[in-house]
Amino acid sequence: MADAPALELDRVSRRYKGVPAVDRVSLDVASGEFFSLVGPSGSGKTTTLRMIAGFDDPEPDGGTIRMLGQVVNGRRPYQRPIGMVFQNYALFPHLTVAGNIAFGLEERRVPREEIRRRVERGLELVRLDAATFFSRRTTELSGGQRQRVALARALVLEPQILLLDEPLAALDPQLRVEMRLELRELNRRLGITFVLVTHDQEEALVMSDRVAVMSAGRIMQIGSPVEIYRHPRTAFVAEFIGNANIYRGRVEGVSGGLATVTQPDGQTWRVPVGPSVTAGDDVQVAVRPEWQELTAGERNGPGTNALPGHIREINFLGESSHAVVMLPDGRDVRVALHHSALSTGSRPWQCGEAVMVRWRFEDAQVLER
Amino acid sequence: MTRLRSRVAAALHRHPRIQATALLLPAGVWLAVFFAIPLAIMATYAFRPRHILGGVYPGWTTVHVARLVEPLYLAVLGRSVVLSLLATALALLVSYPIALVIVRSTRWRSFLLFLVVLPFWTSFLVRTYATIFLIRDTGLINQVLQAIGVTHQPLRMLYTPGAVLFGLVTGFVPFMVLPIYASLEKLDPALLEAAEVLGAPEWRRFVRVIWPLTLPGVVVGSLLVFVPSLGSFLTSDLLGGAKVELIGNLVQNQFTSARNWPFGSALSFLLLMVVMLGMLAQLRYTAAHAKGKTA
Repeated sequence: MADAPALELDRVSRRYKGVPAVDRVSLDVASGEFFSLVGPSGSGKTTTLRMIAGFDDPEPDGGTIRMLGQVVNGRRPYQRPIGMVFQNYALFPHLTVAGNIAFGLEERRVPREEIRRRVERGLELVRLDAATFFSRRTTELSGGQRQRVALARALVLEPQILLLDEPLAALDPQLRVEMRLELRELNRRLGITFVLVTHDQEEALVMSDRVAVMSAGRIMQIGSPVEIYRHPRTAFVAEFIGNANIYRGRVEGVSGGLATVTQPDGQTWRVPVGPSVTAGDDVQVAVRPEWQELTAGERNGPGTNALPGHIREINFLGESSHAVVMLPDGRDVRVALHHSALSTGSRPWQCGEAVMVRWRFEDAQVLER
Repeated sequence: MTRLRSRVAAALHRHPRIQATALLLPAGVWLAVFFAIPLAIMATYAFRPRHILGGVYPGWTTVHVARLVEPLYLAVLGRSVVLSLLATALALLVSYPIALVIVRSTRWRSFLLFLVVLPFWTSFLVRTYATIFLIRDTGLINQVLQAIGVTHQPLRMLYTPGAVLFGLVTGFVPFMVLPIYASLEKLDPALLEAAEVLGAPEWRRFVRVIWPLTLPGVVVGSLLVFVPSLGSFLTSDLLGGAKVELIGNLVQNQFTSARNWPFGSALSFLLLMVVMLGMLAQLRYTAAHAKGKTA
């Protein structure tokens, strides 16, 4: 079983009082992969992680969990090849930094001198100076330092799989961005499989090899960050990961793989579709703000759709701005304005101005219903 | 009126020290009048000649304090300390599991806590009498034992040192359960999960995480049992049948039937010193705990 996935979930489920919290979740995580479970609160991502860890509550009431090819259902957490970093670090307040990191080694009856060596190596791994921090109390540490101690405590046991439950949620924004890169780097360098739970989609996109988007206890989509961003399969995924404008309508006809779609308000646009889509089908597509642009009034060029609207407001976001454009049917769509394009020629866009919202046919992603 | 009140409030707010003093004043006066002054009077009584009808004569003497070191009284003190320590240990043994059960139950938690506090609804005296009805020769336990044929003679339970111990433990268990419960309740469950992932099975988690982190509660509970046990006289009077004499009984006797107030005072202060030694130990422990031990 050389290529058994590090972690395999097969239709894992858990109900609370009859309501499914996790509903037939299946996924494979390859050895060394950085895998993220992302979703809003209540989506079942933490419940899933806790079942992977093997805590009493919750235990799966259906499905199998395999680690390195072996079924681990019913095994205690310490009988699984895992380490874990908790949301608020869960450092032992009555122990020093060294005491915390040594905890697992002591439980494994590692000889004393070796413990000392491995604790020092663990501190080095998370870039904490051993001489300074060895006998510090964890209550004297900053959030970032605690985070590092929690990581070291898990890593000194050399787990095959490291579970991280919202590890960066309690850090301030700047440190959070720094730690993302560092976690990513640790994953690469140590070759340990990382399974991360987060509600922060940006965090998931930045760090992960693959992302599973969860909602209401189910996995909506699994894929690389680019795949999920470029090709969201459902409106939920499109809107949860990044921003998306959703357009809906009925297919008038299909020719050459290109469907002509009419919205309820009579506006039409075109989108490339697969062979399963035929005239009379209802379709919805997602178009990201940065896939659209504003033009001042002229009709669309070849290969593009254009809908008329009025600029309702312009939100400055730093790197770019978003124009909120109201369409004739009263719906708002967002269009990214890159700073080079903040103005057309010398004239900046004005609120209330009549514009066309334009996007290329192939830049719309057809969604499943 | 309102303006005056708001101006006083503003002034207090500007001077936090005055505010603190004002807030502490009622309690301070109360303690001074009803605790510190009587205690000081008591302290002087230990050095006064004894009045045969109770009370003291003017003048000074050290005979009462000198009597404290007589083997007879030291034995009583020793017995009291040993019995109180035993009561504390037993109460801890009984209380810790109770506190654990309460903290782990979700649905029954408030009901169980209510049960722990329930004994306080009756007076200690009534509860002690109830214990007598339970354990005396013709009491409920002996009736049951004889009815089911375990014994033919009634078991002698009342008026033994064991009965006193039992009375102290049952009387003071709530004082032990509550602080332990409070410290267990504060314990972050994630710490136990962290310990479990790190390789600690249930028993190890108790030894390495739960016990050390609830030790402050254990220390407080132990003091709350040890101190009143040491000064108790009612329990040994009623359940020990005046056969198990404790220092509390001795003090009570000196003030009542023996009419030797100075010696009673001297004994009280001996007791007070033992209690203060216990408190001091606790304080030093707490200070050490706050500063933290090295790995």
